[in-house]
Amino acid sequence: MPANVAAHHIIKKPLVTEKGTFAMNELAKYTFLVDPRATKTEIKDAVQSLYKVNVTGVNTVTSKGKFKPTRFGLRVEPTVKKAIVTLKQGQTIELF
Amino acid sequence: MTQTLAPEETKNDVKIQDAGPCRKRISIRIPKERVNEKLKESLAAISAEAQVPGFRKGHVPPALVEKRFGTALRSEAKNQLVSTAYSAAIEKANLKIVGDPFSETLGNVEIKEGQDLAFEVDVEVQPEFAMPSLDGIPVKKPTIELPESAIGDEVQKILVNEGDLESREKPEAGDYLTGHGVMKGADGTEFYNIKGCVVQVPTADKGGKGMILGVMVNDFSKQFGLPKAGETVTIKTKGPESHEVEQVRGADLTITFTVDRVDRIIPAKVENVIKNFGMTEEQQLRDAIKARMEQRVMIQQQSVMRQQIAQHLLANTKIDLPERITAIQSARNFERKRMELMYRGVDAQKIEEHIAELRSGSSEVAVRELKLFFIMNRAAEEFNIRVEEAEMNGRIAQLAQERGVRPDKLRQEIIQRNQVGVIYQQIRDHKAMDAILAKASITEMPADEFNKLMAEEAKSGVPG
Repeated sequence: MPANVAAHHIIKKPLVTEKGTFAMNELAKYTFLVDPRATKTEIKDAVQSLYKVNVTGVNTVTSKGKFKPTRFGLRVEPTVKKAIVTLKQGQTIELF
Repeated sequence: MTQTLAPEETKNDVKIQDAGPCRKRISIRIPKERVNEKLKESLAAISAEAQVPGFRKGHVPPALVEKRFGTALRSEAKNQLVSTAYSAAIEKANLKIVGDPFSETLGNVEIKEGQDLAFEVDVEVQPEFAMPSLDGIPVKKPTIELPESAIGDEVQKILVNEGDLESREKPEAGDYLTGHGVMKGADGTEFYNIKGCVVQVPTADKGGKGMILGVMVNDFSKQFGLPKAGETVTIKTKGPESHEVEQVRGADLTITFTVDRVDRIIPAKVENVIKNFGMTEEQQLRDAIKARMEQRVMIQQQSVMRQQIAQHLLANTKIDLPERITAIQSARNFERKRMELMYRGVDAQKIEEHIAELRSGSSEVAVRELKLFFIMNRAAEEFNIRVEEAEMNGRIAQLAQERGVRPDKLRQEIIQRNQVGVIYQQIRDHKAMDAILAKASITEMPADEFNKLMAEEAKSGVPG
């Protein structure tokens, strides 16, 4: 990622799914969709500055965009990067 | 008088108070326990069915359901609670409700977890009274003939309806002025502020009387004059005694009207109208008008007989009603009258003039209309009269034909103006009247003789 990118450009949106909700409730882990170019450190800093919490761990998973056939030819699905962020014990993010 | 129902009867705190002639105000307080229970029930029901991306059906966390569907969920829960509580309250209090309930505050009441839900509704109740016998009521049936000149007059009316507007600089009698009308009370309270309202310069036969913003003004011609576009006129008058806005009644009104446009209706040419109607010659148009007018004559005949039945029932029924009726009752009276006149094929402009006259009429007339409303309601109950949807559609189609508009357009307009109930009531009243007429003792007589008799009876004060 280029330097001085705003936190809200790194964290695109929280990912609310059944699996994510389970992780959030049981393991205090929060899932976000992030910019595919963002590093774990950048994600950690962005979450800390956006939500005023302490991040103890960041796991990421990138699913590469696939080619999908359409009636007008092939369409490339966007590459998506998910970040599963672990917070310091006792901290929560109200957004979810 | 206030009636309080024991909480165990309805589980809610219910108070019933008098709110005017034959009106009750029902105040209901639903306890917070019931509110919480209902909200939980609704949330569980939605959670089981909600489909949210990222979750399997039925596995969406309640908090997320609340966040996504909270507004709809609360509104639905509120509607269900209100309707159940209202039905239980009127059933327990044994109130005979007439028409739809009305509430000014219900829309603003919010349902919140951990809080009681309190609201008020006004309802109209059927008063207790003894019905007179409905058998063998004496009725005179006029044999009305359709003169050839009436068809000519109707052709002229169609030509005016199909005519074009021609812009004029200076108005003359009969011209239409479009502009901005504002009606204010003596203390500056604004009752109406309507842009694009239309005023007709009174014709000679009106004797200087004219209508503006639904109010009939006796010296209208003198006060209004003949203003040109851009000019403003001020009219001072007294608020009609039976106006549907209570503050307007008897108030010193100041109406200002700024003229935007002056138009005159130039009647269409017969040949153009014939072409537009898809006909080939004038005789075809006259035949179609004749058929329509014959139907109208039949309606008139029925109306005259129904009026006699109404007079008889009013004269022979004793209902204790206060001298003045409420604004909502006035509004309903006018809507019923408007629909009745429309059914009889009266012009839209004439209908509004008639309604304006009614507003100026005494409160006695308004109370009489209310009394008739209750009598007809009871009569319909006694004859066990039902109104089917097909009958409603048929009546709307008939009204549309009279007004020269498409039935679906009129239907839409009726729904928008919340007049479906008025149509229902009208059909029910007519059916009840016809059921009474079927048992009446009818005497036929020529129309002239009938008119003379009616005029004599009106003079001597004998109800016909």
